[in-house]
Amino acid sequence: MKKQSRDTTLLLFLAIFSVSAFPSFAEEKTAYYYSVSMEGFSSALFSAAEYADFSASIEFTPREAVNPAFSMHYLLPANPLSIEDSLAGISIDLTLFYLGDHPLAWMSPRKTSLAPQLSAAAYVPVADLGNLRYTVSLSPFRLFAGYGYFSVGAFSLVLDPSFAVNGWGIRLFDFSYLRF
Amino acid sequence: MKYRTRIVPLALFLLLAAGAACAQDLAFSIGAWSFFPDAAGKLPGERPGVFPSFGATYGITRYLEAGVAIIPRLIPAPFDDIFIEEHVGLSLFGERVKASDSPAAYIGTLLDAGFLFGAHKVLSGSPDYSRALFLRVTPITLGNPYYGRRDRMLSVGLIYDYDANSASLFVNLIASDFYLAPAPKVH
Repeated sequence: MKKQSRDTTLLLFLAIFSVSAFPSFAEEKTAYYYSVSMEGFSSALFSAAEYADFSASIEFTPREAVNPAFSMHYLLPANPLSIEDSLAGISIDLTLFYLGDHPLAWMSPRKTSLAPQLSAAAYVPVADLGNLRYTVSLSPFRLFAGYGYFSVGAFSLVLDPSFAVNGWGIRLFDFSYLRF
Repeated sequence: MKYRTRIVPLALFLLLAAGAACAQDLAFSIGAWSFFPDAAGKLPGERPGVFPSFGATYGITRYLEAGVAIIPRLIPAPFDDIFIEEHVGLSLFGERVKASDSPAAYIGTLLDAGFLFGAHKVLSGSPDYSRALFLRVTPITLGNPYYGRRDRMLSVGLIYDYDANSASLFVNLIASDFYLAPAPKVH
């Protein structure tokens, strides 16, 4: 009986420790941000519209080199507007490093770090969930400015379902804001 | 008609030169233009696409500025359409820069009037050209030369193509100005 009681106490202790440790782990080791970007694609798999990309992301080792993140996307042809041609997507993103002393410091009056990102994304049209397409993109001009990230001129390759290159794309702007 | 089309760019060029001579502030700018069709359904670039802009703005007075930009098509066929714009901008509700070292208001509003020249089918066939005047309101600007950076947000404008006698809307969701003189020395 005594052993059972000790085990129960130990389990309770572990449960309380886990529950109390999780928020501090989440606070220190993960960050959440949402993003708005404007991009376009020169590919038969996307229309020649201006796309607005709305995404929500979680990054796991913020401000550390090789910082992975996971994102969910809603890609909307905004001009011309075509909600029926919108796409849903997921991506795995990797911030390669954070460089405090960098050649793009003039772009912001705030102190920034250069934080280039490599991403791989999969998209499906909302109206045709089986019709996959992929992008691999590099954001070389991406800055971290405390409140979030700002990127210009990201380049992407568009891949078809068999992973053959089907075109390219460019993201003119991306604004990401850390949520907490 | 020909006289007017020559006078507008010339006047804007002179304003730009005056601005450069005053050298109150000088920035280079990046942004994007979104064109919308006219009443007949025709787009200024004839088909949808992505149009970044790369240009410069010059301070003329504490309220006036001038700017130029090149606006190439990138999507789907890079550089198949190229626009060039020149404009004069008026800060509506306050000075862009103060005469003293003190900062001007961080938030502002701009009214721009300008000329838009377009070269179309540059790489894909027989090129043709368009000429238009435009009027643009930027309801929100954040920053100014004092801070070394300004973002122009949610600009909405009207393009009037006087050769085709057609009008259409355009939007600049965002444009950023990066001032060359170190802040806050510009005034």
